[in-house]
Amino acid sequence: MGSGSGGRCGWVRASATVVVGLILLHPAAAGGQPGTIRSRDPGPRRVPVILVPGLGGEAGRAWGHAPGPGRRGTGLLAELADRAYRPGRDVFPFDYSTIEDEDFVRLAARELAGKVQWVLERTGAPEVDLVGYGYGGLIGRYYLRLPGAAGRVRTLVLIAAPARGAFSAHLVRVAAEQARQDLWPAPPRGGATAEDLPPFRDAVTYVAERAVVYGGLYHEFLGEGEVLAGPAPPGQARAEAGSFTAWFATQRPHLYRAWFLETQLPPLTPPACLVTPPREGEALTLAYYELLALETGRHHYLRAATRRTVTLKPPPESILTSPDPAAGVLEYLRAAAADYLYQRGRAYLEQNRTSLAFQVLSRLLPLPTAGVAAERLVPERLAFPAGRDSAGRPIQHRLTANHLLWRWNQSESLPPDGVRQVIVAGRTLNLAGALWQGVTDNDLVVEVESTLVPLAEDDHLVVIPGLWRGTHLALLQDSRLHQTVADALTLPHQVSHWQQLPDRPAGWARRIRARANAWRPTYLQVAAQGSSGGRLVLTVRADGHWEAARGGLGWQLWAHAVDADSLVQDTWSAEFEREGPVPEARLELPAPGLHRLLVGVRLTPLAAPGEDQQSASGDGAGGSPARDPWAAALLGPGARDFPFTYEVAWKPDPPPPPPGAERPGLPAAEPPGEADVPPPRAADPDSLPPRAAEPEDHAPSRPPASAGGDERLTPAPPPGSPPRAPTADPAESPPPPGPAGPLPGPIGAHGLPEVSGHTAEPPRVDVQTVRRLITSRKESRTYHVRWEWELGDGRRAVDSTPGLLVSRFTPAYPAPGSYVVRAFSFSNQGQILREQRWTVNIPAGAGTDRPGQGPTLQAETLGEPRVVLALEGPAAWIVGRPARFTVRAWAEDPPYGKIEEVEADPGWAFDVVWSRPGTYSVAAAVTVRVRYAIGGRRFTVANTYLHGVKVDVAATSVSR
Amino acid sequence: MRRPHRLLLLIAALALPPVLAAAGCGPARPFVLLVVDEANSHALEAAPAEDRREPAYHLDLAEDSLVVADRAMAPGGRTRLLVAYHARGRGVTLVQEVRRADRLPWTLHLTDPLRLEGEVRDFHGAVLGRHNVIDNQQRLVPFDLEFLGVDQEGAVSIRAGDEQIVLRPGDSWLVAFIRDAGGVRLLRWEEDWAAARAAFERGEPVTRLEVLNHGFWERRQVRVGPR
Repeated sequence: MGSGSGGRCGWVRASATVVVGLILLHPAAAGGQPGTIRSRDPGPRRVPVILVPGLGGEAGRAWGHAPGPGRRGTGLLAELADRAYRPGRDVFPFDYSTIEDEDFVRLAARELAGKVQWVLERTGAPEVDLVGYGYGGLIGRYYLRLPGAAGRVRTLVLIAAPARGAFSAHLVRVAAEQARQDLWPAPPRGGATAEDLPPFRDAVTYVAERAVVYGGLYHEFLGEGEVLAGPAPPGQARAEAGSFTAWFATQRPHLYRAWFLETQLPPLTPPACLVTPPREGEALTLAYYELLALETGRHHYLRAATRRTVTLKPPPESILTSPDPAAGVLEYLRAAAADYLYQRGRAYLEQNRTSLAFQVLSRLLPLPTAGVAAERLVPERLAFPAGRDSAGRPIQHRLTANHLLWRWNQSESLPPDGVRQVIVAGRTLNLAGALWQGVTDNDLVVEVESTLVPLAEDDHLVVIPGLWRGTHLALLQDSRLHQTVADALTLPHQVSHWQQLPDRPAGWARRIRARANAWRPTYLQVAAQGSSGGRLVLTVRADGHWEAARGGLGWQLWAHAVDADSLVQDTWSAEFEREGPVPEARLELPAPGLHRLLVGVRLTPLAAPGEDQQSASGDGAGGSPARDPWAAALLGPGARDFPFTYEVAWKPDPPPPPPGAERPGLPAAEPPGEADVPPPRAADPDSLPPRAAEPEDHAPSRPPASAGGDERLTPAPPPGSPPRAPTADPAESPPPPGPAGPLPGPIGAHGLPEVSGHTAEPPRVDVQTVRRLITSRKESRTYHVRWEWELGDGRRAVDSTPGLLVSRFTPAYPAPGSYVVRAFSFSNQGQILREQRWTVNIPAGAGTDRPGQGPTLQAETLGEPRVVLALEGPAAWIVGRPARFTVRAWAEDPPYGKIEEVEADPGWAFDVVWSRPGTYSVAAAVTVRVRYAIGGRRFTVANTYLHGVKVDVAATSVSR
Repeated sequence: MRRPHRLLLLIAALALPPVLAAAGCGPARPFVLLVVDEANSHALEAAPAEDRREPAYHLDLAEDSLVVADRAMAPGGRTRLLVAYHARGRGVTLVQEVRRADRLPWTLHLTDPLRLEGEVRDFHGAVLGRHNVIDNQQRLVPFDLEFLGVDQEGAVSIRAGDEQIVLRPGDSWLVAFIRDAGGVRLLRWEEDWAAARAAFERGEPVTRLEVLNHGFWERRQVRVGPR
């Protein structure tokens, strides 16, 4: 009915369409607006851009067309035309469709080199921008590896470029291996056997662990996203109904982000499954396993809930029975890929692996434990039997499973310095719509091949969601893509870097590389929410082109403090030093109250000596290029980016000194000096008791030890001398001097009182890098290591007995006289902890037949408190979820000292959030501040102790 | 000779529209697009191990387009209502189809049992045979939806059990069903959704039913074809 009536009415509608079309297209009717060139102003010249199309290489089909007289523009070319790009002047499509070799990426890259050269010569620009779509992105990346490419490209935009191998290639590859196993149980090339676990050795554990996470999430989805979901937003259908990943993306964005990253980025720290890295040609994306885990988790949730499984369609016909083996191969692989993902993922969990996650799951589900997991990969070319030829000879069908995958896997390489990458990815169905069980309309299956290149600091990753209609071809037609690409080429870009300053001032610094020019200033943001003080020190160093800047241009560092409403609260700026080999600018800003900080660099024309400053100043973009060739390079069309290095450091305020403290944080106590040590004075027989000398610094009142203590004369005692136990036994210890310290806690298992404190709001530490200690403090201890006695006649005695806090010495002299004896206590850092002196009188007559022996002298020094630390927290954790660590400390007052303050860094309790899996060190610092009173002197020594644990961080967290 | 021609053309111009309209090929009559979404917490009795079903339709509101897999789901010239019906159990599609109503009133039989057959295996993999894996007892909607009429603004009158509702374009009607001592109890989003949540958290079956009115659509917005 519909088609028949359409035929009868076709001429009517066609006529009407023509008439209406003519009317609309008439310039008068159109008012000169639609259908015409949207911008007649040629505008400034842009950095020329070369468009590299995808597979097939035909330039004319991918990019649409620029608007012309009487026609609207379409595609990316129309968007670029709106930004004053003109085809043939600023925009140059590249065509490599004549290359039909499998090696087309490399060959096309060479042709692209010629195209770049031609464009540079034609336009006179110093650099070009490259926009590559699909394999065109790979060609661009490969071109950048060629000699001479560096310095010629400013920005490389990758649109869905399978830099890490297309997901489909992985599927085909794995499916091909499964097919191979079915066909030939013996592996080709003497490769892995069925019992082996080649490169992805521990994928089982990985998938199992992740599946547990996704299984839990699926339950949440059924509640929130299904039976308890609220009404659909106005104007929207419940298009995502039944879509686990769509719900995941919208309702658990933080977890989805982690999931997304996991599926996109090669792990910085190998998770368990990557302990044995893939061999060359066998690189797999983590995405494959992540997706496998998601589906496995969902399946296991359903299986646990229903206790049954169902096959909703019969398995495909086997290749072995296919009437057309050659055609059957592809069909078989297609079906087998889907099976593989599902069946193998389920099998992973059912096999006995020593995985904590699996054990947890096993307790929940009575899974069979027999079997060995085998995960294998295959060479890039596979041979399948394809019957026999007319002569009866066997025919082999050779399938190139993944040549495009491994050959062009460039994911590990960064482009040359100076090239900014903008990666545009789409979430599309990809081939999942055909292969992936459970994918429904509008499901957000990430187009994983797009974004797998490593990102530098100022690279951009843009994900365009919500695409539909199958493959990533849809991405190229999406207006949001056109806008994104044009923005990347023309608008100021923001360094995609946020740094959240920790609440607890422990110091922080970060170095970030970025690029800027006059019309495209670069800025980064530093979030300082919750910072309680300190100062931000910003240093920006020009990495090069300093000579250029001297040619009439200045460089300025600026910083805006921005409040929560994005209003600029305060502004600072500093000019770069114009002399010296390393141009840099530096700002120091108060951090309290800072909400957000934008830091940037801009170029400004500066007055030459004798020139009117006003005439030369102003907006950098409005400089006078004609005045100076360098200005032309910097400010004119096609302005070049200049690299900078931002260094942002946050210096916390020093802790307030405790009342009465003389030297907070004193690294070494009581240096010798006039204030501490009285000047030498004449020997006074009355000043010495008959058998024991009182040290002149009025050490605490201890009963003088008896004479006849250990005596060592120069030279120092030979190695191996028996150590001497300290004599400061508790019975002899004086009452603890100094101010009252904190109340000791209960006596712990260490026999020491616990001194741990509490943090009201534990600070949270986001760990973005691998193997980073959580505290930035270093262990710093000061303790006695050595005694040195000076006998006053040029002789010295040394005692390095560990822990000897009290040293007794009875000097003897060959001749009568008055001798000044000094005892020095040296610290582990080589400083003098304490000096004591005595005057010893040897009366006449002594020493004539035997050495005149003086009294036994006793020197005492500072003891280090006894401290025991514990850091309690999980030994294994998952990414994205705060792990709480608690610091406990036990400490005992040292002789002559009283513990005055104990603090922990980052806090007595703190949370750590890891963004990536791996093995991390978590360390906390405890600083024990002891106030000593000895010899009538009081001073403070602060020792810092570190204690760390290892944490295995494995997977994305569940949200409950 | 030219006048009679002009006269003939004039007569034809005046007479053609009614003739075309009578032949059913006049301007495409718009229809109202409704989405009926049924989500069941317990209706699925087996986890799909293999499921290669293709979606029956795709509704893209961003582009105001509907793609249906089968021509039978496409609206005809007399279609008054096009109802996209999607029922799920534990997040898995039980049925997804587009039905068209050329005459009103018209009933969407939600109480009819659904079937989803496949080869079922037990937890340990033993084959149990081919069975329907939908537990229709756990689909708690106790009534059918009877679509009574459409007004000029596109508002649809619907009888749902004992009540009659009018859904204007852009409106939705959202209810949930749980079991209690008195049988199946209807819960409203605005009033007692907490009871639905409590039932879900107790592990009891919950069914959510939402009807959305997307207003008038035209036939050209519906395409038959692959995804």
